[in-house]
Amino acid sequence: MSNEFDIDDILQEFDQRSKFAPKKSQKSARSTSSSQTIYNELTTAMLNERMAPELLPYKHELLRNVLDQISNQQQYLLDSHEYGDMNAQTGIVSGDFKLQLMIIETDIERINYLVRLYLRARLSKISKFTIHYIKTTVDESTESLSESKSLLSPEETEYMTKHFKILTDLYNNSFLKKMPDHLRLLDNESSGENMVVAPDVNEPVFIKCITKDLITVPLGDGDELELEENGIYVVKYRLIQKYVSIGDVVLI
Amino acid sequence: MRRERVPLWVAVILKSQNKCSIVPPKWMSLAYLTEKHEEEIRKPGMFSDLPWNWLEVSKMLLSKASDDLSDPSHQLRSIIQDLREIRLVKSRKGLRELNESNIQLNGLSLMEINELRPFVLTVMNKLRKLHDTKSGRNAEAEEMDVEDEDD
Repeated sequence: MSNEFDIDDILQEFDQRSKFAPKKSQKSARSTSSSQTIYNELTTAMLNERMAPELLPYKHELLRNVLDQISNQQQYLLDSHEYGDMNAQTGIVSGDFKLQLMIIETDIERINYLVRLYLRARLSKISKFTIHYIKTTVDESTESLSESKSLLSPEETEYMTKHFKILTDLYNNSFLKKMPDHLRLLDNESSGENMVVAPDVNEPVFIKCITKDLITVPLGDGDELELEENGIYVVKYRLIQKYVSIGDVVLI
Repeated sequence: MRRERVPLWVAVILKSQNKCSIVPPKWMSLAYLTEKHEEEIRKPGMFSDLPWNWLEVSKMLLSKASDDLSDPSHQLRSIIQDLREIRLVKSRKGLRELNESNIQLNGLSLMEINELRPFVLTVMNKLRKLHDTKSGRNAEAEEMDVEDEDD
């Protein structure tokens, strides 16, 4: 590691390393461009998740990738700080070296922020619709989908079951135990009214169409809406649900 | 001096350390923005074409790198303000078209959309509820029925 960086070196180093490329770059070729796509993918995933009324399938591969890269970068940062501390007295560590570390640090912070937003958006939906998702994921696990396709990550499943347990314990202990038997259920559907709160897929959402192909959305009553490339619309989520999952439409 | 393409946030860090000067984007000039402003006046029915993040980027450049811009920053600020206001008026007028089913918002930038979002969503949700109670008593009909009709 050279001690005297000038600005070009910083930029170059930045190009090669900072974004996401693994520290001991397995393939240095997949530096800027691929890290840029990961970044964009994460942003899109985060926005879609935040704006969609229902829980979208967990992006297993993307998140694994991103988290790996973050821990790589953090390890690198740790090593470099150690190196910097060791050489601080001798004065061979220049300010530019610190600046470079600062940029990497900022980058990690930025990605962390996106990941946090993504996960929080998911957790808030899981808390809101706990019973609904417990029901749907039970079906899913009996169908034994491979893990990479499941709706929730293992951590989220754990969160959901715990949340459900705490919630039902609280309800039971505080008032349900004093109620007559037939009023104790949390998901009673016999009375015709559905007690389980499910996401409202008819909610309007803001979308941007990013495919070149013209998408035609039926509005009912024979009316249709044509979505052009780069067009921005507000429509009911249900109508564009499938285009979001294939990526032709992004939520904004 | 060498030109490099870096993300804006990196440029701002480097700029704050006096390690670079930022080359402003083409649209960040008085001439271009004035032209857009005139276009907005000429065509009252539509929005002129501006970058997706023009408000955010221009604010950042004006506050962090005003010395790198090609025109005096107070003039840029005032033309951006004018442009913003005329577009705001147009988008408010456009709200007349709100209905419970869908609207199109072409030409608006991200920040402008976000300003409209809370209002549009509440109104559309309310209209939707009114519409649903009107058009179908039972829940099945509500599921299937999506009419495009102004309330």
